[in-house]
Amino acid sequence: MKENDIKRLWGAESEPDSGITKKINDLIEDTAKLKAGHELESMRPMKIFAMIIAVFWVTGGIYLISNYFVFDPVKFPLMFTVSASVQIGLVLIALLIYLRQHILISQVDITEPVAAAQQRISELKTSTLLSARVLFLQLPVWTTFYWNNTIFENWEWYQWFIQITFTLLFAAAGLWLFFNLKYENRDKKWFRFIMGGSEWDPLMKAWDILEEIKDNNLNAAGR
Amino acid sequence: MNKFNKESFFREIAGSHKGIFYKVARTYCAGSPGEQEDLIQEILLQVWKSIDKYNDSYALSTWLYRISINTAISYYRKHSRISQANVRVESESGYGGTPPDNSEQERISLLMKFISELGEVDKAIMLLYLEEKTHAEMSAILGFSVSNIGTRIGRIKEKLKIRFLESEK
Repeated sequence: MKENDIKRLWGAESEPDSGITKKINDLIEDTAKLKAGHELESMRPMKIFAMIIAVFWVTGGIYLISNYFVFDPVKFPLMFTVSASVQIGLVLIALLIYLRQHILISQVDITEPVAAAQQRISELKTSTLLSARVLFLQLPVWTTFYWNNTIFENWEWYQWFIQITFTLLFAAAGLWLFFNLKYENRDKKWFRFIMGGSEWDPLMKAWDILEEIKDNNLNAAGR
Repeated sequence: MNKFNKESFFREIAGSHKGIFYKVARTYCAGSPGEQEDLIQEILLQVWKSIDKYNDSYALSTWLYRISINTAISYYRKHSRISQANVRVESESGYGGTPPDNSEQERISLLMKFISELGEVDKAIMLLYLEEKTHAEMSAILGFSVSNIGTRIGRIKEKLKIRFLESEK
């Protein structure tokens, strides 16, 4: 098909008919009446729900741990407190990273040229992966929080062997995921398995867009 | 800009450039009128929110294309269901100007399908090219160099030609 044919085909449907025009006019009126939305409008209810749970989790955890320290400093279970502190600390860090990225994304100026705006949004979007990586670091503390004085005094060597093996495996898995859950591995099967849910689609698409923009820039630089 | 001026300016620019919103939505949500409507609504919302940032150093259409394409790409990123699978060869959209005959309609649907298979940035390049924008205008909207855009258009046209040839076999 020749170039002119393609343009002619495009032109054959390039103007909205009266039905679409009326619909767009209605939308213009709706928008003018509705005024601007708020920043959280782009977030799905599930994400907002997850964030509320995370905030409650962190607040409740800090309250519980500080109570142990303040009101019962002698009897507090050391390993529980240490494990819970690490876990809550990591959730807090992940939550702050996630919130910061969302705020920065909402502040990107979309009146900028497309390449600049999309590169900034996509880079911020892909960096939300950092919050997932940080959360994987908590894996080992889920195998230590129940250690208490009874265990330390009564366990046999083989019980400790099994316990330590699990803890080391979880620690290795957490560290490995923290260091390997990144762009370079996105085509690996294990990566697709972990990040395969629809929740991660925007991240995958952000990477595609980044590649496309970089490809365009490389083409320009290569000449 | 006060509230009344903002509203009237919004109505004026949105009303006189609705073709831009429609074409961007058609390019990025081909084959799904419902999604096109959602996208147009999102674009209008973004135009409303950005209206205080408008300055006349660029043509109004350049500014609106930037917002529309940026919003469309972000919309694509957020909505996992949008894909080329939504585009069927037989036209089902029911929009457009004078209804073309069946074979013409089929070719238009093929063109929309092939455009929907392009990457998100290439879609924008093709849209602006088909709208007969100059390379300088495209550069101002997209932020790529003029020479880069020329190269890119050549590649996209080649891709489309190959896809049309394949479909004729």
